[in-house]
Amino acid sequence: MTKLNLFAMAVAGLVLAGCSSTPTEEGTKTTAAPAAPVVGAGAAADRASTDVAKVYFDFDRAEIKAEYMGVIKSQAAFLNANTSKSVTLEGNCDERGTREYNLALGERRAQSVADVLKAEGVAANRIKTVSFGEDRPAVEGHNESAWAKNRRVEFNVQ
Amino acid sequence: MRFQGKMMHQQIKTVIAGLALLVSLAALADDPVRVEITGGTEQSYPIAVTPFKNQVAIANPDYNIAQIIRDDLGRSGSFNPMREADMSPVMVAGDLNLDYWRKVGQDYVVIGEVRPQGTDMYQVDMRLINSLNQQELVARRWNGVSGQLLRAAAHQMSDAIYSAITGRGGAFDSRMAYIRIDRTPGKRKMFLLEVADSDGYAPRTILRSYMPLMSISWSPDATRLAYVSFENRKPEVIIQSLDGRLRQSVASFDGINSAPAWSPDGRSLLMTLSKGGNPDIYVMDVATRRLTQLTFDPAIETEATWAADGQSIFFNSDRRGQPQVFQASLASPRDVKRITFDGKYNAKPIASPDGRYIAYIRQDVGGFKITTQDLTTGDSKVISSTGSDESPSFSPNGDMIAYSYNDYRGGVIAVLSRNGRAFTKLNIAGDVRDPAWGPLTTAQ
Repeated sequence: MTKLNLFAMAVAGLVLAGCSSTPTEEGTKTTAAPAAPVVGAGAAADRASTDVAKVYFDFDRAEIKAEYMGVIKSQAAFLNANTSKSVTLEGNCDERGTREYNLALGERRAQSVADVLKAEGVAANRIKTVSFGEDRPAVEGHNESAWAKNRRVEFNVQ
Repeated sequence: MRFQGKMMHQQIKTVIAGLALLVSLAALADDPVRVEITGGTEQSYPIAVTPFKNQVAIANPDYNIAQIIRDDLGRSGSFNPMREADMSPVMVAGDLNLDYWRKVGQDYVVIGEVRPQGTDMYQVDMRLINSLNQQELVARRWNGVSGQLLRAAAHQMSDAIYSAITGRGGAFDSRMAYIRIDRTPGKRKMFLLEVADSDGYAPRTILRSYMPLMSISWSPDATRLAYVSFENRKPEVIIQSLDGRLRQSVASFDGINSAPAWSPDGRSLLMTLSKGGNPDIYVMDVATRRLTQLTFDPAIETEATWAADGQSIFFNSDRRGQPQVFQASLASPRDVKRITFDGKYNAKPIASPDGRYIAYIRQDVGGFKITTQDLTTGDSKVISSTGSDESPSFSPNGDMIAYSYNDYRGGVIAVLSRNGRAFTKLNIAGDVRDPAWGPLTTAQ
């Protein structure tokens, strides 16, 4: 018997298997799903990042390069002269590497800049740090010129 | 006995393949050139999933049951499904002729039939036959299936076929959560949290945010997601139920609140907090919100994931200068063991459900690549051919890894078989990333 009778086999098979399984209810949830909530509208939209001071970093590094010490010192001088102002240092990374590690690396970069500001005499309670990891690129793009502009700390003075 | 002879032949083929691999490994032992041996001794089963009889009764072309099954099995890397275009129309239309399927090299044949049961309601039969010994391995009937559930039924069929042939559980009747970025011109960029079937179909939006979202983790009962939201201009850990009833921030301390990972028993969440001054890993009791600190090094510790048994964690630490994967037990978290040694950047580990493997992202000359490591031997292997890989996530049976990478049009979610043999871009349109593969939806 090399050619099976489909009908006979179907009956035998279904009886033997003895099961008549039905899909579970899970798929029906899609119809009852509530509208997705919308959040984050109160958070300011990305401002043009051309109008703030920035410090740039090497890949996977948080050390301040000598060429950016001047930028940080001039920000410190401004803050020391305007004692009603405070600063949020926003740390960012390029898209390469993993997202959560980059979130931590962005914080470390912001803290590196904060350390210099403090050494220049800015009170710690006027400095906040926040990391956006790789999620707020200054420049969209998948090449070194974009990446170099995205590995940065921005001074958000208020 | 003809059919016993066939079975013997198949066993012999397997044995020969195993011997050939041993020989080639011995020959390679002194070879300095790196050679990737994909597949190992695992078989790639040839299977003909024939068009289901009366498939035309279902109008929607997205509900082609045989094609859904072929696509599922192909993604696993353990099957080599015959293309429908390569099947003889005569043989497909007539009675099942196992001689034919055997001659065209198909060790397994799937046949099925669709019967309408009223408006948008169907009964579907599926049977799996071993063409070598004529044994019927699966014969099941799905009753009262609405059109909306036909894809779920097809995935259940794939799971039944997968486990009957491989002896391992299937993973197709499950969900994929991920982040979509909506870049509609003229509108503010939005981040969407979506959940789709494991093959990317039937997406629905769980949350829309004007600020970034990331780091999705499923509760083991598949009812809740934990994730990171920047909706208040800082990273916070949120828990949200899929039915929309619950949404709460569980960690919004100063600094980073990130990388939630639900424990296998559903009671605790690993997370990264920098409230102590630098990023360390903590475990939170979900019911009481009580936190226990697990890492204490001044370096970055993040991306923690549970070992399969829930007794230890794998995590990323740059305490040696660059990211590497370490392991610590919950009982004595200060006894930290380094796990990755090859490569200077190994990050974002995830453990396979059977506890044998971890997958992580390694930076090598080709970029950032999905890498697997056998925890029993310590051997690691880069398995992806893309170079901007992120967010590896094991399928519930451990045989596939979902991940995201960037191509010319934005983020793409793909599934790679753990053996590296099969690579499939999921059918999800738009700029998407950070997949998290959910638990099985149905008990098997």
